[in-house]
Amino acid sequence: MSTISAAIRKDLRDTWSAVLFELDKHMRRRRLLIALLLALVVPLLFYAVPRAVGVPFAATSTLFAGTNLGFASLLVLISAAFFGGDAISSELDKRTFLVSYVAPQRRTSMFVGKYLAAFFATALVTLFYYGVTFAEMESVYGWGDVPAAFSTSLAVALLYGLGALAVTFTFSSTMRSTITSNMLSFFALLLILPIVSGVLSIAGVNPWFVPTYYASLTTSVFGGTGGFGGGGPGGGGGLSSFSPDFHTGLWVLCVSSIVLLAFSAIVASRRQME
Amino acid sequence: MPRAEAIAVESLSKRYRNGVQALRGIDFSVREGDVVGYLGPNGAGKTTTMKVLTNLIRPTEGHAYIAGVDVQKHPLEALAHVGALIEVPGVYEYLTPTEVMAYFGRVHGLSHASTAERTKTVLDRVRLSEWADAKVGGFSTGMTRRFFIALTMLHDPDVLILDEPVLGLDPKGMQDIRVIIKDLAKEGKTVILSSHLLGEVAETCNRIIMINHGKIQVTDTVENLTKAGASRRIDVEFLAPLEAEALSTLQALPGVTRVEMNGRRGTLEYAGNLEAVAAILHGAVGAGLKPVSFALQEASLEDIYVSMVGKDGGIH
Repeated sequence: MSTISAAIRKDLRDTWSAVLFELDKHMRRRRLLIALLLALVVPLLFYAVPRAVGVPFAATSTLFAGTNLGFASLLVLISAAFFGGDAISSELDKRTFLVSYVAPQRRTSMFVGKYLAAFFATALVTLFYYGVTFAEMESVYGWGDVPAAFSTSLAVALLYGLGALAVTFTFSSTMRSTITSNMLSFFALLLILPIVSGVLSIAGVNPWFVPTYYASLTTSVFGGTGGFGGGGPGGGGGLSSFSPDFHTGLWVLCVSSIVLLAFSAIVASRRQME
Repeated sequence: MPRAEAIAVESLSKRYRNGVQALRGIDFSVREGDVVGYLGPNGAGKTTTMKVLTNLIRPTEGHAYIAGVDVQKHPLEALAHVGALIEVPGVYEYLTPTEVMAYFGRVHGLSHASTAERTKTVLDRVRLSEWADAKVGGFSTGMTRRFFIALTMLHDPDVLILDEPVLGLDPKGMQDIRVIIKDLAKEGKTVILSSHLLGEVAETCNRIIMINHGKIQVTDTVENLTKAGASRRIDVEFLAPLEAEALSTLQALPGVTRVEMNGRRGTLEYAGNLEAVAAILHGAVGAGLKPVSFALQEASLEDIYVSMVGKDGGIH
């Protein structure tokens, strides 16, 4: 029994070590800095441009949030591709596995650590974006005037991040080349999956099973369809005759994350390093 | 008390997905404290063996053990004893040696203080202390290699598996590594290293394992290998130059395959073992040839290696 608990403690310690190591790498490679800059500049533009050209802000803070947070889903996808696109494949492509995989740690511990680090980085960027938007709302509409759905939107954005990272980790685990896994991650999240859900919608098929279909949930919780390209890539707005259901969205994002992550973890841990 | 086996492989076979049979049921063991040279031409199966020993690949058949622990069944327990440098690893180029070692120190269960102390020790050992806080991405090939050798020693492992450890090093770097390996041997560490530099192996290793076509060809001590003489040559000197009749007598002695004389001195080639050598000497004395010197030529490791792999040195 004590052997098992010692083994679990060792796995948890290794996972946490991997989280810290990966976060350090995200910072050193300046990817985190770039994503944070994006999370700062975009909401600042939403704030500064109307002021500069004399266009009035939305009438209520709910409308303001519903419009400006439309970029959140796109930011989440960019972050997911940034932090997860080559998380596993880079170990193979850059041959660092010859150091990390011969150390006494489970590959699944490394995998989970990498995933958590990518999620923490994505969450930090998302929180920063929501924080800046929150500050802008306070500045425009006064202290205390925050829509009730603001925290729901943030929670959905974080859940969307989990799902998007599961997609990028699937590519990262199955590909050997960082370029291929990065490209596939970007294209899948920003182009292929949104096109799939769009085509299905046009064909009269509800694309409820496509994770990126739920991008617009971050803004639809405010009661609108969102202001940034119809709720971000693959969003349920625009030409679609379907609109994503909130509760189905939560289930699909949770289940797809679990299934894709389980698949990726098995592939990553069983792969032969020939 | 006999030394325990630090490394053992049993009936180890590996067939890659492309059909290449890299290992064909090999068996060998390395005792604690041995420094073993693992030799063979390119494609012989050396790196495959080392990858199985470090759980990077699974064998098709057979088992590999480190300190008695099955590497494939209990990799964490087995690898806890091991420091390994396989092929040419990539570097985390934006991190410093101190940062990389901090991470691997945690993985090996070292405390922060122990990791800091060991980092200093091992970087000193490979003459990289001054670069402890420089990004690894800026290192030369030799410095990178030295850094990885330092990393293999971070947790003071009992077993070191080194695949071409001096690859890319300048003569001074090679000398440093040679000294480190000798020191590790004095400390009682077990080392298995592959190399193409046979002089290096002869100087640092006490045992040799030769592999070719995925099969173990030779396993013995360096001393036995060189003395038993794969060269099968004897340097001889007689009291006086041999006449034609004496030369014929010498050539006719059982075991002698070739005679080459130049005045009183010459070389005999023979077939067989040391019994045959003794018989030749006995025969020469008995025939009244009056040998005054009779010495086995020690084969160099290079001679043995070439006789094993053939002159082309490649895969057959």
